[in-house]
Amino acid sequence: MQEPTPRSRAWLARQALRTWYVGCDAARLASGLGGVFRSSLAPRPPAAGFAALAGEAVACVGSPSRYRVRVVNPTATARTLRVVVTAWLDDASALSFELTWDVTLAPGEIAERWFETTWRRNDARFVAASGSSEPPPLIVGRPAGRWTIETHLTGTAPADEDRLRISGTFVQPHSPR
Amino acid sequence: MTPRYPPAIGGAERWCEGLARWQGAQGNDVRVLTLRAVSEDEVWGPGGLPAESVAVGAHDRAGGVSIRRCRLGRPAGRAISKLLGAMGLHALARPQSAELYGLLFAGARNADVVHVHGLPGPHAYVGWLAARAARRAVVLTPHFHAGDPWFEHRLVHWLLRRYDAVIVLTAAEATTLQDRGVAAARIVVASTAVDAPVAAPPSMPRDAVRAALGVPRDAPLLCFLGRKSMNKSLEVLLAALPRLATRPRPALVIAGPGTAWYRELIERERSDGVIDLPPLSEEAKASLLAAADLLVLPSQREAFGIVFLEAWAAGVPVLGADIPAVREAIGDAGWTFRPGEPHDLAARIDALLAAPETSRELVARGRGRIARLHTWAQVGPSVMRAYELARSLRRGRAPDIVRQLDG
Repeated sequence: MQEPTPRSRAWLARQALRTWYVGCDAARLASGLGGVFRSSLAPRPPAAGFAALAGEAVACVGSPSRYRVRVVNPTATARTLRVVVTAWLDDASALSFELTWDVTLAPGEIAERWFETTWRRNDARFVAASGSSEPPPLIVGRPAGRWTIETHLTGTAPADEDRLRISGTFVQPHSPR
Repeated sequence: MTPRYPPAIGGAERWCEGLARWQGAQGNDVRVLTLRAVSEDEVWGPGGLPAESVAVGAHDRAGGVSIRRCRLGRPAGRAISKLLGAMGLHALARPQSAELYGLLFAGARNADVVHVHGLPGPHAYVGWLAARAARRAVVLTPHFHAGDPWFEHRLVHWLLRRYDAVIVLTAAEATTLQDRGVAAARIVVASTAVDAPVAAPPSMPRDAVRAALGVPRDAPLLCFLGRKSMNKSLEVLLAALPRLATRPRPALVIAGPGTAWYRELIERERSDGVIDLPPLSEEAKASLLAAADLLVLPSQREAFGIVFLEAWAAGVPVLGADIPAVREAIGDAGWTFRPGEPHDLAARIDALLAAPETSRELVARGRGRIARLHTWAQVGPSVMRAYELARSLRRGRAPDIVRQLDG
């Protein structure tokens, strides 16, 4: 029998790689189809949790910025949630503030709270949805760092659904012309 | 079902939300199935770029509409992507959601009508299939972009012809779909609308907005609002900017969610006078529009351009590319320029900035168009007629409905 030449070895390697890719894709496809059937026949039961976390993308240290967190209970029984909001500057090592909100939701109920911070350490509080001192909606300037806010629930088994994270930019406002 | 739903930004997304809220207010049980995706890149782009300042959970309820957001999976694997790419079906290789499709098959059984929004993603095929499996009427609002290779694939045309009814936003879109083989009797023109009040009052005075943007008081302010995606032809607007003869030199604000394409563009085409802003809240958008002198939408592919309505509502004249959908959306209430031609765009911007009286007249006409044509009280019933048409077609009683629609 003839020994395989280096070229045919390369050809075999390519075919093996292709077979591997096709095999991986076939496995993913099968798993995806399985997921469709599972979700159709036995969907995950609804769970109380976060509906949204949102705010302006741009903030300025020293000026108030406002964010809102919204929770929903799509289940048929009342649920009590402990919502923890944490925020940090640039990287996770510089914690800026932490807020806690205990809320009991009736079946189908939604609750929303706004919080405000100047992004100085521990300067954050829950506020009314519309106050007399609305922060300016448009802040523009040179980028000067990043902020991150994360909300999670405590007292329940942590899952992706129980955690939302947003981030944005700090700016140094333009000097007026 | 729609791939993205507000707070995701986009005309199609706004249309879904406005319609769902109107339907909810009419006493319908409206359930929206969508993805936990806010940014366009999460669904259509390279992926892995989550929205920055907005994040959404699995469930929500707003304006009488129940919203279920499903986890987004990974894009198709290497072999399948290559195969789909070779067939020109790149859109089908985008991230999928087994959870969404499963819930759709389950939900279709309990629905009177399945309404699918947007092409050309895999959800449009699964939505049609799920409705067929459940023997339910199925309606599509394609937000069709004529000329876009992703929309012009023959499999997409085949799918369009399979829906019981197709809702379009302009007569131009209806003609486009008829040219692709969709029966005229299945197409319902429903236009689009802005919610009342048509725009939030600006919370920042004009001068304060200009000061925040660093724009001198006497410099004209041009504005683009929307997704910074390839379809919007922002490169034409950036190329027009240095050709403007107006002095002092106008500043241009480009505000909206970014994409990988835009990040590359802005790196390459660094232009003076461009102020790049992230997605803005409704309050910030209203303030920005109130401070602007002209809104420019250079898109060469557009199903309507809802931002024209927002600009008129805020008192800002509009300028769009001369493509059929935009021509019809603007009517006699704005100006157009030759698509893809920065020289012509620059000339039209200069001319409009030099004619404030004309601008005021155009805005007044635009506001008239909103009141006459673009409220949900006008658009909603057209959509409900499309549902009736689809249900009648399912029951084999289409000729009556078609006669009614023709009448």
